Amino acid sequence: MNGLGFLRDVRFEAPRFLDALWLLPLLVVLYLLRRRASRVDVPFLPFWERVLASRRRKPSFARAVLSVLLQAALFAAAVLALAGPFVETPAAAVSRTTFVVADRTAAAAPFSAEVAARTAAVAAEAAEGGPVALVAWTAGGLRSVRAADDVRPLDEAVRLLPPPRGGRDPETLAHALAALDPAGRVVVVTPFSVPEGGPLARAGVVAAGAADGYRNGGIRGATRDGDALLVRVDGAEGRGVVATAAAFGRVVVPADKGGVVRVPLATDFSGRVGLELDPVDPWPEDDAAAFDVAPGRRVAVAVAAAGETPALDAALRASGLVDARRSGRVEPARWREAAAGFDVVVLVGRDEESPLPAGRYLLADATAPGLPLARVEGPTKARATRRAGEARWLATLDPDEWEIRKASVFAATAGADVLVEGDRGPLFVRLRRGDVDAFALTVPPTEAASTLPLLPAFPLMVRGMLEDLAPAAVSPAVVAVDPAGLRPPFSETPEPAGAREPAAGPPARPGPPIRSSLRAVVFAALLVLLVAEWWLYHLGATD
Amino acid sequence: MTAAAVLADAARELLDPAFVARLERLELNVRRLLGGERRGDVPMNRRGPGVLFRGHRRYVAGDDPRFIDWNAYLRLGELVLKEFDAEESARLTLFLDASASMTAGGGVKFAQALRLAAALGFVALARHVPVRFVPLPGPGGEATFDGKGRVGALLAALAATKPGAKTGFLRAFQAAAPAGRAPGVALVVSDFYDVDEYAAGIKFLRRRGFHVEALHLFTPDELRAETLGPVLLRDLESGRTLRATLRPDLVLAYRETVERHFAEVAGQCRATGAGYHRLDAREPLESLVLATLRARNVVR
Repeated sequence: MNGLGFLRDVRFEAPRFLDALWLLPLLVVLYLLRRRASRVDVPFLPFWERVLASRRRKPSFARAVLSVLLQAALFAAAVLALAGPFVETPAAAVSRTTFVVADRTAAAAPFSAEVAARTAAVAAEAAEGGPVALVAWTAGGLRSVRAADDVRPLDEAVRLLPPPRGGRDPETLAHALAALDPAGRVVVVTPFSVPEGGPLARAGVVAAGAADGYRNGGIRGATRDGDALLVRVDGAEGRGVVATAAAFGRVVVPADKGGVVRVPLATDFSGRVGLELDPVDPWPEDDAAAFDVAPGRRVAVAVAAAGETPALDAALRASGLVDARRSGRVEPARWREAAAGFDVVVLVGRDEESPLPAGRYLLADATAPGLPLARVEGPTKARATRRAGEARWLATLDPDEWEIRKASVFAATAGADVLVEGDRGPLFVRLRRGDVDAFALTVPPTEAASTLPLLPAFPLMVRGMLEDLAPAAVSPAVVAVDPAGLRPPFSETPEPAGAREPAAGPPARPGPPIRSSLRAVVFAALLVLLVAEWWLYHLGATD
Repeated sequence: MTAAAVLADAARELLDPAFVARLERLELNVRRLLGGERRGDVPMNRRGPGVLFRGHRRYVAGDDPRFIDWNAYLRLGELVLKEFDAEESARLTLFLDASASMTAGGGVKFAQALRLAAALGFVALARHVPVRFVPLPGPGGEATFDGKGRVGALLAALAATKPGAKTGFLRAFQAAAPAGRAPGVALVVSDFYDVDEYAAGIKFLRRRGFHVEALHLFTPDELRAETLGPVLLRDLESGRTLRATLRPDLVLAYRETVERHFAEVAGQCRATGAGYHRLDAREPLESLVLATLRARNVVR
């Protein structure tokens, strides 16, 4: 209280009683209308004068006024006492309980000793600022080991931490943390980092120290790649992918650092494939997945060429992607009529006079209006100079081995993606224009034109082109049975060496305001006023 | 003449006829009042012939043989002598306080004073003792009555006395008992609130040779206050007022003051050789006269 300034903060529990103060003027009215003294005839007044002179002073108007004021003050004090005056002062910040949560899940088992030691240190430091409760995170929830008001020493309680077991269920953990005192501070001691926005991220997390390189691994997805199932894995180094299917039984493929594991799969395979990482890691939820592989089919190819193309035909057959029953040669002049029934049209040695209709094309020494590729010069010698494309199927091509004996010179314009360059112009180009998707080989696919058909890269190039042009055909859909299971449930990585400063917990809340009743003060004043009024009356001041 | 015959209608208010019949059997104990049974600072040795028989004594040589009671000699065989009170001393003066203070208590005190004076006056007149009625403070209103036939006049005079004046004992006594006038017995019926003059007045009467009997009338109401709290006290005689707030302690202190005054009056009377009798005015008159005053030998 600062002088009388606190009077501004006085409030009342029952302010309705204050309305009675309006009756104060009534006291003055009552005084003015007070009962007049009754007349008493006495036989001899001097006797009364003698008595009164020895007992009192003559009442004065001032004393009468003082008496009225005292009575008014008495009435006001009584009204104030009934109204229940009080003042509230803000309470100092109260010490809050620190909940030290020790990670005792199975995933933290390898770091049990580090977690225990770090928990003891954190608890000891927190105990300097207030009460400490020790909690074990185990079996998907929290288990109290030592309450805040427990008298046992902290180091003794740390020894009572349960052995690591149980999974790390984030939802259960979130509910358990929410059940703790919201005014308290939560510090989690764990050997792992925590994902953003997770329940642990909202608490203060203290690293317990962990070994390097330990991370959660799992199966993240799978796609068909012709005769293989490409399985994307994460953190599976040193482990293997076990594929099981009714068609082929069990296959184990070691995982490498690339993150993709190729599981051999017959090109006509379809059905469910079960995948599992071996061995499983402490987060087994994402270490297994099942995929339904849709039935695949081959590419229907139409070849429109004026002459024989034995090298091209051989490369098409060697790709393993061409559906021989649905593929064939078409009249070069009438290929447009049959193109709709094929997946890919191969045009050899002709420049179309009209734009290509929508579709997928493999152009060999051919072009068409509207494409960003134009023939500019007649056949001449050339040689490959550089491989620009990054496609895997192009990686086997050595430009130095590709010699062009006789080929036209083409020029590529904007929109053409040159995959192989030559000294006279582009040799292999990726073209996309509207609904036309094409690869263009500016060199005839004959041994007479170049050494390309003789290179082992040629059939791979053909296969790669077919895969690019018709992926749905050559790579049927692979659908995960449980897509949610592919997500890492609680992907964590170990903390780097050194402790991380715990996140700032909730700020210390001030306690509830302290209410100080002023009733006792008012009653004391009331008593003083009563004594004063009695004293005045006793002195005969009242009249 | 019967008692009823002598009482006028107005006088009937003062004395009950039945009480009057009983009063006829009383007499003032003049001998005691006038005799030497009381000591005082005014010696009284007056003896000798008179109309009031006082008693017998043995005859000794030298006594006047005219007063030998021969009837007693025939009965007793002894010579005894009759003795009589002096005629001049057998006079009753009734001083009646008619001041305003006598009306305190609703007039009960004054009414009782009138009745008391009437009773004693009747007793005196019935025994052929002249009665002089002197209302205080006077002047005026005095009258002398002699003989039983004047009882009615005495009662009428008493009934006609109205209170309201201011007391003044000394001046009134001085006026009523000038030098040379025969004294006798003086009955002062008053409330004795004339604190300034009552003592001097009593002394004056005693020096004049009166045998004074102070009949101090009071009412219990004078010793207490019926009203507490704020009051306006008014003196009945002077009319002065005093505003006060009466509390029990003040009332008690007032009672003590009045009691002290009463004791002072008694002391002054006795110191001057006067008789003092405090009488409760609310007590029935018959009890006052037939019991109290008789027990104190004022009447017999």
